[in-house]
Amino acid sequence: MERVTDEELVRLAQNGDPAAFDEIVERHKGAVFRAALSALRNREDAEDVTQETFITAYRKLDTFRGESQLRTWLSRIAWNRSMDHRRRGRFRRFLHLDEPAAIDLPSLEADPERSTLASSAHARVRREIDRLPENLRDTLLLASAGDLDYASIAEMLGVREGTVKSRVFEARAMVRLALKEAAR
Amino acid sequence: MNAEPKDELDRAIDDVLASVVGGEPRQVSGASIRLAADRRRPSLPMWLAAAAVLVVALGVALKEQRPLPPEGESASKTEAPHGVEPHASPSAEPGPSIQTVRTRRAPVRRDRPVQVFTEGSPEGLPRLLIASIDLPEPLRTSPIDADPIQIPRIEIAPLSVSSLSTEQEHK
Repeated sequence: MERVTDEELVRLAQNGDPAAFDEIVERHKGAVFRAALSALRNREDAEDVTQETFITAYRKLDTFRGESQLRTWLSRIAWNRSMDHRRRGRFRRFLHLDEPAAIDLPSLEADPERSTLASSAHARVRREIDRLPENLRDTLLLASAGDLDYASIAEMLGVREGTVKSRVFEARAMVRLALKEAAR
Repeated sequence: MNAEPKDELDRAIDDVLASVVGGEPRQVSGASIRLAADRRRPSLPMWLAAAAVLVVALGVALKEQRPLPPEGESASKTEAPHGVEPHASPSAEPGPSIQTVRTRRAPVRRDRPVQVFTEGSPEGLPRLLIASIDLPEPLRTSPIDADPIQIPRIEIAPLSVSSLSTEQEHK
């Protein structure tokens, strides 16, 4: 089904073709996963959100009218799910007072990929990214995932495309500045 | 840091960003999604059914707990049962008495307002006057044309008392 367009796949899936839905999942699960990962920065949670996203899409595929791209529609579902997940996580951490105090940086501490960072330079960069304000960090990570253009990210976040561009620029500038100051 | 720190920094940032948001999900497939969605589907009707049962039970319980009106209270405050329409007699004096007339279940006109007067009513109770109800059509009876009923003659043998034995009589 490589040559079939997303619109055609949606139409087939809406008519009950399971193979068409499977192709939708295969085609977009990476983008959905990376959108969730941008918000949660934890692979296990992102995998759960990806699963939930496609379950929601499977149920609500009849409501998809093609007003936005299928990938954007799926990513928006994933983003909303991730925000719910993030809020629940904060609430859980709020209740468990013995958890580490770094509420804004939880996923880094538990992320197994942290151990794969070879150099201390990478660790410093990553720490500075985690210290960014949430709206800047979210936008920077979404843009860095490379699955969505600025217009789609703007549609997903409910902001203007110019806002996305400026956030990405500002986020990178803040990380660079912090790293330069740390290197002195 | 070498002669081009900006480029090196940019590359370092890009590498880290790629490691943070890179990769693919390992356990997500179309079949697993469809299976999970189908498995969860009955949960919603179950919730709806449970909620509906709860609401109905609550309604019944509330209705049973509602206090009954005290005995002797004016019938005007209670709703008439089906098939019984309150009807004010034309000759009735403006007193508290209300006659109920059992009628056929004809369509009832509701456009006449019900007037409630409280002045001059005994014991301060409101007096309910209900306008008369016009039946949609006058009731007519007409003779029924039918064939005469013919009853066939039945021949009955005369009863003979002597045929009974005395033993049977004693039993």
